Amino acid sequence: MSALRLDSVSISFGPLHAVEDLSIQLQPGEVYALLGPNGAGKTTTLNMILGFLRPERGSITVAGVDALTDPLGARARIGYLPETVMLHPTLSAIENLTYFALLAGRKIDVTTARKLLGEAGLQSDAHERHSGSFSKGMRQKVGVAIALAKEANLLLLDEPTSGLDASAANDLSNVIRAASSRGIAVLMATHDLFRVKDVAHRLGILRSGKLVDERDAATLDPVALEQLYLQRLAS
Amino acid sequence: MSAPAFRDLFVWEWRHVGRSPLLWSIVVILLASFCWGALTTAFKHNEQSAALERARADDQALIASTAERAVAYRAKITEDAGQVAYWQDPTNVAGYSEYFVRRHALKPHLPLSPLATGVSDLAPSRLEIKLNTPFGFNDTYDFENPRGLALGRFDFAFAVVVLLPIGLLLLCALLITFERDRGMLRLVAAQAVGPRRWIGARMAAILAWFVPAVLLAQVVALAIAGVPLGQVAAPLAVSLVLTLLYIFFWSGIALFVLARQPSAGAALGMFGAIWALLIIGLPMAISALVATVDPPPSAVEYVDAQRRVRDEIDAERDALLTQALGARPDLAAHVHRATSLDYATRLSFLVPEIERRLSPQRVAMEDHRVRQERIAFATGFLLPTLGIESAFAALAGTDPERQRRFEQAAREYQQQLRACVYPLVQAEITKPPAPPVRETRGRLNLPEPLDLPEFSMTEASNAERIRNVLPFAFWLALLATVTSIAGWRRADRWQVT
Ligand SMILES: Nc1ncnc2c1ncn2[C@@H]1O[C@H](COP(=O)(O)OP(=O)(O)O)[C@@H](O)[C@H]1O
Ligand SMILES: [Mg+2]
Repeated sequence: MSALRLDSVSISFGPLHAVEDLSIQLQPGEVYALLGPNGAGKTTTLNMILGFLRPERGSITVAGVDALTDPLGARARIGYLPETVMLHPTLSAIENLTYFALLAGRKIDVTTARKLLGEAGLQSDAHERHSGSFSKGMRQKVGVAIALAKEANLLLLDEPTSGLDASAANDLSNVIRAASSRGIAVLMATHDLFRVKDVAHRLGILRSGKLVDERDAATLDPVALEQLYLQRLAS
Repeated sequence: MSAPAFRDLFVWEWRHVGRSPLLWSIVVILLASFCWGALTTAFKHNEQSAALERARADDQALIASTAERAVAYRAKITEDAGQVAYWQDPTNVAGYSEYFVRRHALKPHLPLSPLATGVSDLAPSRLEIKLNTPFGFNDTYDFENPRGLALGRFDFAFAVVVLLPIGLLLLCALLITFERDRGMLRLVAAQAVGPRRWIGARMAAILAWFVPAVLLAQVVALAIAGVPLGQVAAPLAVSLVLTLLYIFFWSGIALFVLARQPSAGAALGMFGAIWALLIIGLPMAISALVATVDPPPSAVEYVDAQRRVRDEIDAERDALLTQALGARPDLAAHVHRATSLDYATRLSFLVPEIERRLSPQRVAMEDHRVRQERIAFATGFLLPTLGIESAFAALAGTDPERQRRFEQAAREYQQQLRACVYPLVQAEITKPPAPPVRETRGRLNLPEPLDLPEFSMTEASNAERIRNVLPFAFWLALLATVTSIAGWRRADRWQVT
């Protein structure tokens, strides 16, 4: 059973075809990078997988659950990391994590919470601090812990490395690799080509809502990838 | 991997909301305004009750001094010290009837009266009853109800009707839109909870704090205002139920607006508009409409009519009295005395004639009041903000209906007094004039002051008062249910794109 399956998915906003005839399939443990410039339709694709937007055509299944008829069931199988993670400022990292885990239907104790935050790379002296004082990178790490806490089949990461420093981005790559090795499929929307090469098994290039190329990451070195990307966007 | 149980969510939200400084600020402000409102009314009512006591004491003093004078003027005099004027003489039935029969009709405040000022600062709870005042008593109070001009006085009911929704809406708007305004809503929505359960749990948590706090504040405020809680258990409980339903009515509206997850600004704007419409706009529009469609009979015209009728009566006096005596079998033989009757005796014939001539205006005014009461009752169903205020006044005994019944009772009391005194006054016409020999200062055609009946008014029982507000309570419950269900249904999807 695939972790994610998009079949000829299309959506438009008025005259704008935001995503057109998009088909992607992810096996468990597979890391897929959806590349594309701003406005290519990456977030829109994630929104449809999450059930926030309803595609006009096509079908979406998440770990066997039809996301269009059972969005709640599909969401329960998805760990989602938004582009900018915002948290309850008056709650600590642990409290935020427990709250979001609760919203996902999981009651986790403090030990589990610490373990997850540790896995996400948040230094332990920050676990009990109010998240109001956290930097973007720290909030991002709590967001990763929230996504991991769900023990989902699929992780959706929206521009996960934008605005992160090199070490935080590296922590994130480690988390992705660890998740992948546990059989969790990862779909990351990004325009960070170098990070992609680092973790992705496969990559797709999205231009104006259309998938214009799909490659095995292993077949490309970083320079070839950049050339391919620029060429695909230009043509 | 399933949606969280409502109970678990609720418990978390309940703890979270309980730590919100906003919640407690609002509760404290409401408590303070409840106390202030209840105390203001209690203070006013205590003063009025003291005035009622003074009136009662005045009546007693007048009765005592009348009896004393009667004794003094009955005493035999040896040398001729002259007779007292008839208007100073309670042993003369005519003088007695005009100058010594004065009683007060009193409308005491009920123990729960601090709940709502109602009409108690517009209409008197103490009416001076004299035999010859047309229609029972003088209209000494305002012609126009100042409620039409402003939001009303600051009493407990005002705090509930006007301020409570502000507090509740502010609380809901700020606590429920928090995630959205902070950009957290996508992350919330991406978990496994639906918007209904999520908003529902938070709303329930807000109410789980707000409702007990407000109801407690109501009890505390009334207790501080001196309401004997034990004595008023049943109407107090009903007033608490009304407050509870009123909260649910507004929380239903809040749920309806927040169901589509607007920003705090949009939600507050919407709430502001709804609040202003229900509390200021529609009541004023309806008042204006009613005043246009069914204007009150002109008070100035009534004053004019009174003057005109008095002038007519003065001009026709002798003819009227001749006619009145002639029409009475017992007095027909004494028609010749018509022109020599004393002032008090004349009044016993002329005042009923004044009343007869003014009665069309009077009836029109009464009918208008009854219609106004009916309209107010019906409008209460259309606008629960007005309805709950009327319901509070009904429980407090400060409602216009009780006032009208009191005024009717006062009028009936006057008729009762006339029935006791007028026949005695008029019977004197048939008797020969008093002998010229002055053995006493008094005239002695009424040796003893009469033992006149006391004023009494049949009061609705607590059960009746409660029964009267039940239809509105059920209606409010229905509205609260409908708005809540509509809100719940409307919260069918996350608005995060
Ligand atoms: N809710 C929406 N309504 C109208 N247009 C939208 C909406 N969401 C996205 N778009 C448009 O769809 C296109 C794709 O947007 P998006 O998926 O956010 O791009 P990105 O690849 O940068 O994430 C953009 O042109 C954007 O303006
Ligand atoms: Mg995007």
